[in-house]
Amino acid sequence: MKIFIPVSNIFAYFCLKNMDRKETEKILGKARIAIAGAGGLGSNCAVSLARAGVGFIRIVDYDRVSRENLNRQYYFLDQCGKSKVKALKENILKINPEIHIEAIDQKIDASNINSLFDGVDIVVEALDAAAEKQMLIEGVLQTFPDKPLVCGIGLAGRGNFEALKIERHGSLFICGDLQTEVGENLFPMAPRVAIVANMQANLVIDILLETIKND
Amino acid sequence: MRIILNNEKINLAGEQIRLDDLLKIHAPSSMFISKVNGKIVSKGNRKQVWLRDGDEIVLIPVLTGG
Repeated sequence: MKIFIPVSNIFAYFCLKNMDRKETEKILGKARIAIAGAGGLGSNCAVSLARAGVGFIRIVDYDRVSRENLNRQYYFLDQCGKSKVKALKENILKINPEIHIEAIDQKIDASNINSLFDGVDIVVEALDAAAEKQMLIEGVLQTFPDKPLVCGIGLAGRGNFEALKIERHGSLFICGDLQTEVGENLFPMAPRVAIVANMQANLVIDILLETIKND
Repeated sequence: MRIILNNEKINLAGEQIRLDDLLKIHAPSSMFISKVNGKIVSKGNRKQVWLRDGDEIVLIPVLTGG
């Protein structure tokens, strides 16, 4: 007998063992994920989730694509000047035209967290500036205390793979080294940014498939 | 009193201390998420939270990059 656990109950019961491909596709297809930020973390994470078969992704960002983004973000030269969320939607739909992408061209602040991240199973934090990250993390944890929040913290520079890890604090999950900060002498490079973005995507899938259980 | 900060025991004089004051001395970076006894305390509320003997604080650094 096949067992289907609604995504809303992802933390409720038990690990699915020996899950077959159809069950996995069904669960991922019904999943609703929100990504805050469409830069290095957000664009790469969104593409991986789309390729994995997640059915709905809401992407929120107010920025425009620029040449400086192309060294690590999932955009193309002819998209410079476009809204990031619209450009990312175009790119994802070229990969998987059946996915539902909600592109929200808006700046996130404390007053709109409730409306922007309601109705999704998991929130991915993929913002850039530390102050914005802090605002989002505090806001999501206070507004939706039981909703898994997957953050990327500490991804600057190159190498040092062994420092990358996942930390969990209740419903807050952190991917990254929690040490390296982007600055004048330590800039973000594609491999490490994409690794952390894919750690986030991998973790989202793990949570959805209940291989990670609630404490 | 004794407070546990990121799994390390800290001995302090007195019976209570404001979270904000403790962080001024012991915070590892300028931006972080603070949890007191498992509950998130937002940046704006740190002055209102008083810590007492046995309280457990977790600080999670928040770093630019994304």
